[in-house]
Amino acid sequence: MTLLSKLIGRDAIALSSAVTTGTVTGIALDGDHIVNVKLSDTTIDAGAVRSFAGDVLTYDDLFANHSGGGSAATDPRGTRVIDMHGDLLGVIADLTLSGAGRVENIILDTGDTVAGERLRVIGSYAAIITVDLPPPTGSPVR
Amino acid sequence: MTLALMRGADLIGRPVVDASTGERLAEIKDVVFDARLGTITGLTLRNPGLLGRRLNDVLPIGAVVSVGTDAVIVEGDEALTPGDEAPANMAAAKSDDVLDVQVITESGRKLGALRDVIILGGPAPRIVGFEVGGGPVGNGLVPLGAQAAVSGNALIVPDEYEQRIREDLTGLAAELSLMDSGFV
Repeated sequence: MTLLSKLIGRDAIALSSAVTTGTVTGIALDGDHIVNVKLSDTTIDAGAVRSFAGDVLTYDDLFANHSGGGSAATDPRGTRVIDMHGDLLGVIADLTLSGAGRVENIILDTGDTVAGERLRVIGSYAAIITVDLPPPTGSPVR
Repeated sequence: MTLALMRGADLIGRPVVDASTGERLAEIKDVVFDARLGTITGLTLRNPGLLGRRLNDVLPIGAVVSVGTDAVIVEGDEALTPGDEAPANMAAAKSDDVLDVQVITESGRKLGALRDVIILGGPAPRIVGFEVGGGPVGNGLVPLGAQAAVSGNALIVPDEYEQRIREDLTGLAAELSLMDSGFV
């Protein structure tokens, strides 16, 4: 497990060449899964990443499907979090991520956490949280 | 879930958020409602921002997932309907059409002027009361009763409503709770 705040800025190394190709600057999510990782000046498929929990981000560059755009991959920290009732829960302070790139918890600026499985989408205005599960509670995951 | 009471004025400027994308589609410009039935029929819209221009699109209440304390949630941008295709019941009064009309009891006593509508948010938002001000009874909140009638000139309420005026939303919520439970 790692924190998004630790992942952002982490060096990315291509496995075939052992060359540092950039640093992580953002992620794109589909629900609670990372689907793209934005490096300094390129974006790669998350499926090419060996693990998100290492000291550096290693990836299979032959399968990374590089693209120059990556506009959908961003740093979601600071994004407001709204539930399906239209109530503001807080602002994303950090995310805890599994080694496979799944959001395990959303850490809010209020100190509350929300289970990653409740994350529906992160847009430019807000992250949307489902309301089928219990409301946010508990202490932040460190 | 917060089933909050809110003034109509509080709803103005509230973002309309697409729950499928997390994008802000518009802001609320006004509330369209049937005061006699206490039903909200839709919301008119404007582009986001302080100087947001009016949008031709409207938001029929049936397309609203929830009216929350911080956002109005819809599912997909198709929830917004071109104004010329709006449901017929959206031709009812807008909240600013009835502001400042006189609130009068059935016996003819003027309680004051209608200052705002009070809305119960959530997945089935509705008008539950009115704010009255500038009259002999001072400022207060009046629950919406089934007998209420409204026009561009006056809102008629039962005589006993003079005793039901409450100072704040908490008091109104308690009053509404009593009404729902059949105690009054």
